[in-house]
Amino acid sequence: MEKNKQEGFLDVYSRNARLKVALLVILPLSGVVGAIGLNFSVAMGAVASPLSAVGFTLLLAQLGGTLEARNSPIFTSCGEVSRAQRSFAIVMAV
Amino acid sequence: MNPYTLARYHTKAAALLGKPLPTAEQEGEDPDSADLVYEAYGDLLRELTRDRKTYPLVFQELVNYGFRRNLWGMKAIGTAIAALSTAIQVGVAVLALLGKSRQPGAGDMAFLLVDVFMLGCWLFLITPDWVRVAAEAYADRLLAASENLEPK
Repeated sequence: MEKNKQEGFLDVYSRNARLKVALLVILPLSGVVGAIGLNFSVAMGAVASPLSAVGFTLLLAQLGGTLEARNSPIFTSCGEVSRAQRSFAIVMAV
Repeated sequence: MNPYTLARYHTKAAALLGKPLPTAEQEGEDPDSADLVYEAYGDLLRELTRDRKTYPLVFQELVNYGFRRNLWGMKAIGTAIAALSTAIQVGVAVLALLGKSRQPGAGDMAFLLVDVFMLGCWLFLITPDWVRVAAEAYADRLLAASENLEPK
């Protein structure tokens, strides 16, 4: 039971490291959808914005989880890690 | 890092890994081999500290690091979306000023401010240095947790 809870889509890691990231990525676009919706009616804006945010967020969170392993060395490619910091570099490619 | 703490970490690493970590001289002579040892020790530490209940601080730092690393990984997409959204919002505002659309209200301005703020975050906050802070905190916590580990 506990194992299933930890491995679920919305466990602590998924919520914080994937879902929050997806939300932040999609936040500006949901604003646009909301603003455009407001041009037609307040009700449409109020409905369109959260719907677009939720839909795209779930999609991105799933995509993020899939791509995470492939992208994990991304930080190590950001720049040269000095010899003195090598002991830290060992954990960068989780 | 404190040299005594570092020496203790090296002793523990040698015990856990069954192989001493390279000295500074050995690392200077053959950095690639040294990297292999460090990678192996990193892999071992991550495996031995997977239990979130036993190592809650390690997990907390892993989550923080994962959040920042994933944001960095999404930087291109996030920046593009924020820039596009800001451009659309500005376009809508210009149309309104030209009288070709309804006048923007407080809601439109709020959305525009959010978009500009997010664009600024993507451009100036989410950087390798910002990720590195969390990476080093995670590394610190992982190495500290190694002191409680015993060789199997």
